[in-house]
Amino acid sequence: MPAVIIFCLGLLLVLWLVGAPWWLERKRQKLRAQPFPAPWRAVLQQRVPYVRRLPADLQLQLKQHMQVFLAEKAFIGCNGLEISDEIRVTIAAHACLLILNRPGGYYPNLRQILVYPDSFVVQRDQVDHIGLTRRSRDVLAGESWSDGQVILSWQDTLDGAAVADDGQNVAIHEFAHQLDQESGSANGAPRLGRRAQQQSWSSVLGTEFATLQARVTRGAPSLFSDYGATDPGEFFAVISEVFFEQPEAMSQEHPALYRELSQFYQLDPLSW
Amino acid sequence: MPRPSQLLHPARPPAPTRAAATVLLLRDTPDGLEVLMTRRSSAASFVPGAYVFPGGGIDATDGCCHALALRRATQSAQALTQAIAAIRESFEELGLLLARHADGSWATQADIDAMDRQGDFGAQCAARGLTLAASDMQVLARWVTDRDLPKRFDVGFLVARVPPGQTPVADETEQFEPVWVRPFDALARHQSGSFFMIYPTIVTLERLHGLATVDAVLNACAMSEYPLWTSCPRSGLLAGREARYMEHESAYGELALVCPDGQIAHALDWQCEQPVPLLKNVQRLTAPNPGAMTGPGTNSYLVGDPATGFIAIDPGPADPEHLEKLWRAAGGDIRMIVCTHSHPDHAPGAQPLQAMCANEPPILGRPSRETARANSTFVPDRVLQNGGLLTLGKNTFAAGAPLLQGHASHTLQVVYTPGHAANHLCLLLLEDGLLFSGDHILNGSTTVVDPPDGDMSDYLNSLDLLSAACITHQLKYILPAHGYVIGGPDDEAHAAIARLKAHRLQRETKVMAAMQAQPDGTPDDWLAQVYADVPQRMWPVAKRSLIAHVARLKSMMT
Repeated sequence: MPAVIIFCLGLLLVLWLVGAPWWLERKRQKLRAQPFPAPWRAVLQQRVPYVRRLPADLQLQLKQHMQVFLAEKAFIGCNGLEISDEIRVTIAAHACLLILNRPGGYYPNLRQILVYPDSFVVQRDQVDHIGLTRRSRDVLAGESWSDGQVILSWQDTLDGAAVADDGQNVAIHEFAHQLDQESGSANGAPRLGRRAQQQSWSSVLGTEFATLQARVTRGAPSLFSDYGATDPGEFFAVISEVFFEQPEAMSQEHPALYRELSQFYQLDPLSW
Repeated sequence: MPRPSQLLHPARPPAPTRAAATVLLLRDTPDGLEVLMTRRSSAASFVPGAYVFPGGGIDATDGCCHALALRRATQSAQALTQAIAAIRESFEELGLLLARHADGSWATQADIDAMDRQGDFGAQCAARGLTLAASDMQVLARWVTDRDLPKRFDVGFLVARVPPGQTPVADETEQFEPVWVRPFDALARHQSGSFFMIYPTIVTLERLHGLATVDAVLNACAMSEYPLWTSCPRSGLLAGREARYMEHESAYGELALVCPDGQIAHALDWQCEQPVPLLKNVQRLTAPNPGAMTGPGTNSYLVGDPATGFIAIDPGPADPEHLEKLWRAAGGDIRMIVCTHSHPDHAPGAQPLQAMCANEPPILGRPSRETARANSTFVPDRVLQNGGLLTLGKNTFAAGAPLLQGHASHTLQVVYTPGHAANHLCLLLLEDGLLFSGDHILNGSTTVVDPPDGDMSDYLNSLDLLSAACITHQLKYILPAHGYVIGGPDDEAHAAIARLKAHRLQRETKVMAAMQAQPDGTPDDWLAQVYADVPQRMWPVAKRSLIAHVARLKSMMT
């Protein structure tokens, strides 16, 4: 008798294991098949000029991803900001740009996006290596947490989106962190495919990161902002911004790095 | 004919029509032509409260009074009955009597006052020695009530001069307030909302425009015993409101295809946001490229249904938004992409659309010739041959294929139609008798034939080919790449092709005349003479077709 119960429970477990992803995918297929609302289209045209750059098939894929993303992720307005379709669509467009052609799903750990009207202040207590607690107040345009949330300043998101080729885009930056955090902390080592790829990734990014740090120390100019020299996690987020917004300059000045990102994102913005 | 199974709206056979007659009684005044109208009772079952011309249904007695009427030798028995009915109704409703005494003098007010308007009309006229002046009446038009109305009439609209010395007096039961009005004033008052009229009345008054006297109207109608026009209007929706169209208007064919029984359910607004269903298996999505050369924009068509998948015809320019909407309208299941030809408003969308589809549907068409302009170079994945078949679902046209009930198939047959472009083709949807005409036949604008890639002799020969296909494949409707559907349940599509050919040949005659008048002239010299009827801004384009005619004429002369 217990054997039968165990067998039944086991069967249920198997059914759930097999059925849940199937069910989810079915739900997503339905979302993708729905018409893309005209007001959303208007937001894209007005707020996310970058989309026009994409080839037609990627534009379609982007919109389909957005349909799923917007159905699955919660948006929460902070400091009195009321969440509108304009905010949701603009942010979703950036989030989904990063997962085009990538089989990894829709930021599986991400649950919610918090949106502040403008830059926000974060107060943090940090314990340094000798045990001293230091209280810091940072003014931020965005943050990405590994426990399932991204925080964005709406004004900075808009500014980042308005100019599509200046290499500055806080939304791309924070969602790149989210991808990075899928493999744990934001350390510039996102989940990669084969071992060979991991090796070339860490060698290329390691060298480039060291180069940027050296440049920043010398005060020499670089395509990447100084902030990228903070740590490998920030470096990955900063070069992601440049990869999407300034592919030409990046492929010329940092061809190996461009190749790594092109492989990681499964995209070649240079050809758009 | 489209298969009934593919119609969007359930069949609803229109109510039978009842024969009727109405008469525009006219008079000349110092201010111009006036017509007599009355207001219908607000309790009337048909168009209550509307201003109309006197008239009504044809009675059995009207057909029996032929002996009482003066008849033109050319007037048919049916026309005579119609005239008698109109005379009787004018008498009953308004106390006007279109009858003459034996000496030819008109019936007088005294005659009328002595008669009973509810009594036996024929008998009273006979008793007074009056003959009905049917020969003084002409046929102006024939209007048949819209198909969607429960009560329908087939109405002869007649015209006659009102007899002198008679005063209209309404019967005050069916008709009220007889009023003499100038057509223009009636239309203006209708516009301002104070003079309600229905569509046939409005159009009839509009058509009197330019005819200043009673004689002018009568003479125009006296040219033949046939109505100057016959119409059974169809209604569509424009900005959500009903809009009526007559047979010669550009939207009529589309309404005939989509709403054959006169259902008022089809939106005619040009838009590029959503696909427009024309049949269950045919949708149209217009690209956002309207212009002088493209009309409302390029029509991309999808043929097929969710069970069979879809064929996309003319994906249009490489506009990602347009292609995305096309892809979504097909549920992503596009099996083939066909380009009717490779002009920049038709074919550049093919490759990006292909890239959107997981199954990578083949791009089909004919390769561009070396004569094509740089923006029209095109190499299809597979070359379509004349007569080739593209099939979705079970091919019921292949020899020996079993006819499966309930499994619709959609078969496109290729017709190679050079002329507009050297690589132009049309597609016949065999099951439904539709022709996708690309740019070979357009609605609302004329195709340009641009040598050397375009060729006028080819164009005309291709037109003959399509004309023949109308007969052999019972084609009833033409779906052009620019503009509404053309055609109708009878031979409207065939007639449209004949008109198009006649138009081209007329233009060619003008070209020939211009060349003969100025043998040493250049196309620029001839242009003004040949295209005097076309706005000057279109001349640069018209010049291309003129050069095509010149080339054709020269080739025929040598």
